[in-house]
Amino acid sequence: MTQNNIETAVEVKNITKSYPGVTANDSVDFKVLKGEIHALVGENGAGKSTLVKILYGIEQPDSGEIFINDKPVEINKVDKAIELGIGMVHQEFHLVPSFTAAENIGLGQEPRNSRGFIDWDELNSEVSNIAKKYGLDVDPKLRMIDASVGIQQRTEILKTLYRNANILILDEPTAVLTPQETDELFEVIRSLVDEGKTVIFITHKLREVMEISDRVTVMRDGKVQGVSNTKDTSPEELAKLMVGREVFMQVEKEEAKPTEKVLEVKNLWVHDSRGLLAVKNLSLDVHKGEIVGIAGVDGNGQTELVEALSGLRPTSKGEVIFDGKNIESISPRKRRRAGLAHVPEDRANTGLNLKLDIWENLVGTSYFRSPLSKGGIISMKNVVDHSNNLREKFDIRTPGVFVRTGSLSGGNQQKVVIARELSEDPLLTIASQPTRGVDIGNIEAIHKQLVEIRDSGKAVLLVSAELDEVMSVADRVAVIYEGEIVEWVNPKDVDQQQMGLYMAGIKD
Amino acid sequence: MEWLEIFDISLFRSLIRSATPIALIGFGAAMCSASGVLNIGLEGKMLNAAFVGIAASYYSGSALTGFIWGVSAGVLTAILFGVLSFNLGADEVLVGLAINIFSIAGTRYLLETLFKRRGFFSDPSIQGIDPINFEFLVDTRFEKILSGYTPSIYLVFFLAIVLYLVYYKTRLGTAIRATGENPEAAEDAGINTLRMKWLTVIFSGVLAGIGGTFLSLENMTLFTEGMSAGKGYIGLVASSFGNNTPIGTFGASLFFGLGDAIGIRLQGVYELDSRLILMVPYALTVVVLILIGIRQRIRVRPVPIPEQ
Ligand SMILES: Nc1ncnc2c1ncn2[C@@H]1O[C@H](COP(=O)(O)OP(=O)(O)O)[C@@H](O)[C@H]1O
Ligand SMILES: [Mg+2]
Repeated sequence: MTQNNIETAVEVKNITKSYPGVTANDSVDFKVLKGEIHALVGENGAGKSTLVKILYGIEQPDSGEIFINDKPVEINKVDKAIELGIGMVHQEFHLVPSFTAAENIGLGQEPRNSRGFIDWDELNSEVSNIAKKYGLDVDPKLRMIDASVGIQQRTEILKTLYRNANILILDEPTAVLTPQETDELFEVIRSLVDEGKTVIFITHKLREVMEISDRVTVMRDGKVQGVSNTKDTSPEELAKLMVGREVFMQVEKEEAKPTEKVLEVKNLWVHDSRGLLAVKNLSLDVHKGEIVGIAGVDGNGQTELVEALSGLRPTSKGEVIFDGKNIESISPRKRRRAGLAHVPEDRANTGLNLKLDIWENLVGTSYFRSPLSKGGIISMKNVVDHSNNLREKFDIRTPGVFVRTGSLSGGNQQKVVIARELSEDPLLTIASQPTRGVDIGNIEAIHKQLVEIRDSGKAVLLVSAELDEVMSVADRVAVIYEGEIVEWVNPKDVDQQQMGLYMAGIKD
Repeated sequence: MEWLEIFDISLFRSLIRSATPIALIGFGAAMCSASGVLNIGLEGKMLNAAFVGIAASYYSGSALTGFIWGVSAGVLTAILFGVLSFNLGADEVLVGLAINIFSIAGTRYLLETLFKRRGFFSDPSIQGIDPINFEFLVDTRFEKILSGYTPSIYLVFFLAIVLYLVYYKTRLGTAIRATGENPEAAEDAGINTLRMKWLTVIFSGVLAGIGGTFLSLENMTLFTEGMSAGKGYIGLVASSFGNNTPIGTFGASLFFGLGDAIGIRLQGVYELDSRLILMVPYALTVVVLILIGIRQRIRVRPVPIPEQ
């Protein structure tokens, strides 16, 4: 708008990028106008991050062209992107933990005095000034280890502004924020655009698209499915483009019929790996025939709570009573024996060994028992039969069980974990972020499975940072904040706004 | 209190001499660790440099030539380390170990084939590196403390200051630290992390080379089999004890030097078994490793659970 009538900030034509086995971007055309907020939406694995990584010079396309401000460019490294005025805030933050906000922001471009030494005072005051200008509240001298997620994100945004970025790419910035923090972020984005910046905003939450963006591009399976002005479209239409069919956001289920108590947690305290208190005096119970949900922003003690319940982390104080017996100090294997299953949040490292074959992962918790083993020797025939049964029953899409688990898609990997965990018909299934990185089709299948477990008279403890998921799947929901349960709610009786307040630790 | 008498100027001088090779290795190790490279191959680099240094001095009759060749040997070994671990993707620790083992065997082999010696080599035609005497200090109070050391010793003090400035006050320093702590953040900021790692590895090779020639050409002019005697590892421990910072590493090296120097002096006072004294640096290393372990333990001390 200001500079010589250039209208287009970014234009990519016919970009294709393949990784072994997947075409992450398939002849993608994508255009962002100067001064707009452009939402880029799509399910997990649609290819959004790949596209913006190409724009930022982290990945190189196999073919295709890029134009910045109407000029053809080749962005072969990050330096080049920065030079072109492109800035990016990654899905996972790229911050040096022991550095202060200012040290992170200035990294590589610190102002220097006449003797060639870094002028730290100058850097701190430059950072304060930019922060003030865009309404980003960050203390330049705060170390990133001590900073909240919101502050870390603002630091990342300041990093791009410090490098004079005019085109800002935010990759799923709201995934780690409470609804209130998201509102604050939106304020910042609006003030950026007021200052003449262009923003590419990636998300898979359609509500956010409708609220903040001017135009929206939808991707699916590496291809662009459509582009439109936000005001001319609707969440339903966008959802259909994202998934390729009608989606039913609501989970079909009947009223829960809880019976006897299967898990009781009494005044539990758990330390995290840094020795800080992650779970504080937490009590909850779960009955047979119900799904109890735990909602909350990531990093509020959910991980440590689940690890403590499944036996992967010692409890510091308090009681865990499972099926009438105290289990705080017994091993994970014994807990499994007693009927406690665990679908861990970190599928790739805790849930599976991606280097092993599917059958090996499927029998990882039971290979030593009859009929899979006899006299200490694994019976391959029984193991393979068992694995094939599970593969069929849980609809794991694979050419066979003698296939490396890592070669499956995220959704199918998750089905391997779930198949293994449910194969022993557990009394209680603890499912932690069970649909993270899973495509919508498989999300529906997993939700249905959880409801089926419930209906068969068993119990489920569902821990998820996806608010929509907990609210639609669980029968009772506890909101966790800084290791404490803020409130118990009935998902039918509360709205998003109220949940947002609870998730921020605010109780009326 | 007669044992107190050992704390005199000559103890100080012996402390500085003992601390020097450890600090040289320690500085290199600290820079490598700061950039995220665990360089345990420094022991081998030092040993190679010690041998090549003495061989070059023997053949050329020049101490300077010996020094240059010795440092080159350290650098070449560092390049071998870099190629194997960065370009070919081998495990850093295994490469370091391989280099150390290879260097012991390689120098022994060359000792026997080139000089037909076993165990050690010394010859009048080997030129050592002479100490530096400062004219302006002659007959002043400072002469005995500050003058008459070999060049590497002055270099260590100089490096402690220079590295401190580089580490905290230059773009290079922040780039190296960012590379070690979060390479993605560094790459994002346009820092070439691979270049940073190469830089610190080559730098550590230069220092290990100087450390090697310090052993064989300064103070004494001789080579003995395995004469690095674990100093490469002790330097690594010193850098770790000093949190991989220049000043911390320097302090830790002085601590090791002090232990060594006291051991040697006590031997004179109490006629202790010399083998016991030779053990002092290694015993100190174990003590320091325990201290490092305790320090880490203290860092994660769980916060107390409040009473209801
Ligand atoms: N470095 C990589 N190596 C192999 N496959 C990758 C890599 N990065 C992404 N992919 C694959 O490319 C596809 C698109 O991924 P991505 O762009 O991250 O999607 P999104 O950001 O939309 O969730 C996925 O199938 C993913 O598994
Ligand atoms: Mg992504």
